[in-house]
Amino acid sequence: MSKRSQVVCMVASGIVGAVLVVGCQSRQAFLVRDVQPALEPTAESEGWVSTGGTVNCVPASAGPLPAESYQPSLPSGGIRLGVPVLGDVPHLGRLFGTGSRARGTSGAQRPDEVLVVEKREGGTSELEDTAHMTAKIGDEEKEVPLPLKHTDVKAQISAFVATVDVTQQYHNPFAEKIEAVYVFPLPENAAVTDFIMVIGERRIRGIIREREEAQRIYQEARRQGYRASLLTQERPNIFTQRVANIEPGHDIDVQLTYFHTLHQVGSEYEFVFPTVVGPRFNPPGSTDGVGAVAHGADGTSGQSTEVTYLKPGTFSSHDLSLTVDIEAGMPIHDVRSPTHVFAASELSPTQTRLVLAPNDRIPNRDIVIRYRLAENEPKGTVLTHADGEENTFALLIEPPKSEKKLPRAPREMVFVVDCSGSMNGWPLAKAKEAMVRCLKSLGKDDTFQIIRFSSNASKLGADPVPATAENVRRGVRYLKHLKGGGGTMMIEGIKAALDFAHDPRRVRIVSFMTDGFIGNESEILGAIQERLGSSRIFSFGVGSSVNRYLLTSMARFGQGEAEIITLDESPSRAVDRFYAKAARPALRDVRIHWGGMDVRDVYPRRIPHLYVGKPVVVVGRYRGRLPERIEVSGMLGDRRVSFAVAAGGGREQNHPGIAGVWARRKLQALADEEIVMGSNELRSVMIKTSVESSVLCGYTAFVAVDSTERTAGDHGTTVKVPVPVPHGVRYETTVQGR
Amino acid sequence: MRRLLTCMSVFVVAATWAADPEVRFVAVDLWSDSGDRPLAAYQVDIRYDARRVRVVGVEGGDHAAFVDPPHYDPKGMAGGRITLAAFSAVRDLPTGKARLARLHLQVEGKAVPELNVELVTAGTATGSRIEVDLSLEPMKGERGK
Repeated sequence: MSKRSQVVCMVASGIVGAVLVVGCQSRQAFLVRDVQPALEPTAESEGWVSTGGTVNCVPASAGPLPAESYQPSLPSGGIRLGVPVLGDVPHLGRLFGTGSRARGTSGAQRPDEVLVVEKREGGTSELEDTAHMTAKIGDEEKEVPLPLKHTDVKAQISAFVATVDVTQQYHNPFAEKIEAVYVFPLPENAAVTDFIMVIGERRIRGIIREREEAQRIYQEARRQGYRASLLTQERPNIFTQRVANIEPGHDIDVQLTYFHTLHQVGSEYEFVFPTVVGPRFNPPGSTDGVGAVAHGADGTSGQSTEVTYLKPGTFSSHDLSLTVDIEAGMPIHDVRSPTHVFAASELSPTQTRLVLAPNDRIPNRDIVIRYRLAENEPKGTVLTHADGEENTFALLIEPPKSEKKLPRAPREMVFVVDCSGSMNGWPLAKAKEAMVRCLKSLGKDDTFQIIRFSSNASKLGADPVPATAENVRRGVRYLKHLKGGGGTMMIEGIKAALDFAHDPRRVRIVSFMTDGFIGNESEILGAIQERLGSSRIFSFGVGSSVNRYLLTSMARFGQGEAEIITLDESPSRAVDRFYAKAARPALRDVRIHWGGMDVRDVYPRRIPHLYVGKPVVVVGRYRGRLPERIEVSGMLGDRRVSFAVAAGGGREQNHPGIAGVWARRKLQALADEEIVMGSNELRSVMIKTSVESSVLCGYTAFVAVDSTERTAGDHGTTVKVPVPVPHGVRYETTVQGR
Repeated sequence: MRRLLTCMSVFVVAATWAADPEVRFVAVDLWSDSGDRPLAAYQVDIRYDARRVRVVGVEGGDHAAFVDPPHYDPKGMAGGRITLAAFSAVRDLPTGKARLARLHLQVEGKAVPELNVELVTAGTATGSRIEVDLSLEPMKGERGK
């Protein structure tokens, strides 16, 4: 760790005003001074706030540290650290860190940090009994031998598209032959286009096939003793990797390549690499969900996909390295990560390389990187790829900023908060904080309702109430008493939010606050489609590893937007962005006038509502040449407005990933149609699209077999790769078979 | 577009397969002979009976220029055709006979399958098209069977 580091930490409201000292096993300790709340605490003991401070390195000690040794420093450009505080904070009973480089309470690795809290003048009363300092060093933990050693990620970002190469390094640490099975996440819009199995110096490119056929090939190869690997998609953001016949002491690597478009808000771009699948809840009776079981309880969830989690007190040596190269073609500003520590190298004003810090490699939370491009500079808004006679384009459409001046309409705000077991603790506290900010931002013409759900649903009152000061205070009190626990029967929240009479004088906006840890996404999306009416859904993902597929799909089906609030940052920016969009009328019934261009297969098929500051990427196939500009129009209130979008006019930038991005969007559109229809009628169309474009979908799989050598003996034992529960998620409330 | 060259090779699977199980995995090597012209790029079509033969992996060759697995076009695979293509920017390009790629196949049944390879195009580093003889041969040195 750097001796001079800037710390951004999450602090319980109970210790706001205290001094935090963060230490680690490297015998360094960090002093965080001047801890100040960035926001008003919103919920009693669970009211986390984001704050910042400066640190200085002092020798670690299990005992009290002399206050005079704290030398505050004011570093500039220091690294960012996330310092979580878990456990019974007011009493400091279990207070140790699981920060960015953290060793989660699930025991992903040895807890190498200690947090020491010292009361200072003005400190809160909860700390009165703690004298001045308490320290706890994590108990000795047990390492679990795993067949997955390391994941290496190399990403290249060009314009608004990322090309990502992921290498999973499997190793057999056991005395007998094994099959390794690893369930892992990728971005929800990832177009996986390439798959290579690496054995020593040899590289075998996998073949994309219809899923059942690929599974039969893999199983037969496994049975006969051939080294083989199989990649299947369980959800658009959950994949299963199987590697058969890894001999004792031997290695097999698997390399994946995928493309995806970046999230963009205004001039800020966001790159996300998810590292762990959160523990999902599956409704009773379901079998095609995503089970969450303890390591050693494999196969007990009864679900078609199952993730095994490390038990508390255990950890694995699986770690992650990540390098991101950004080539923007224009000056890059404010490169930062709210979640991890990176070393940044500015290769040129338009090129930046980020390398994940060696001590921040535990795969227990999403890795988020954000950067801005220079304002007021012409942005490349179209990318193309030539493929024989037909080409593919990706076009960025954003309404002009002048639309910000439009008047706002009165709203009927319905806040739906997930109070299930996985939201217990930090995530729920974050959700409460966001909702309080939302409530306090309501206008005098607005009404609101609050609905909580876990195994069932209940609400603030029978009907939405006007957003008066008294009602807002009542809402805040209601939120404060919400606790996390129980299942995630999201369908109950959907029904409660959409099944009551709509106030015709107001725009109904339903805002879900959830980590999305459910295994029945299709059922939820189908219910939204069925019940939506004229409501709009804005989803807030709250947590370190939220189910972004569910959150973005809810917003897509609900003609709204999704915002993600990580545990490492204040929700204020996300809430403010939400209000900026929800408060103003969107551009509806959007149409693109292609001006005689020969265009087909455009996705999304229905252009979503457009919001200022939130561009939409439209992809399609075309012949000939793109025009200079394309006209876009939409309904704003009761009038149709139009604006022009630059389309390249033959000077567009070529990008090899655009064909994959197009295919992925088409597959998503087809999958959405299947959800609406409630059947798999489009299966054959999706398989054809997937195979011909070599982009994976739920109906296809990549398979690779090394037919050159048959390994000795039978196929060996299947070993599932257990993973830590995501940072901030409690193992005790989420994992079965403990 | 007129093809400058069309070379065809018929690969007859070794008769010893008859003793193997109903479903077998075999490796087949794609060889080229470009004479004294350095080969920098190629595209070939390989045809097979899709009812009995499935391609289950594509590997590169043993020459450094083509050690990476070639790209394949999956569009024709359901109909029993796989198109392989690769190019190399290294200075040391293969001349004479060289192994360009290896196909990993799953074969059903005991009958002897046939594979045909057809050159679509081949070229030098300067873009000149060249004549190349192609052949498909069972992998040598198979182990564990």
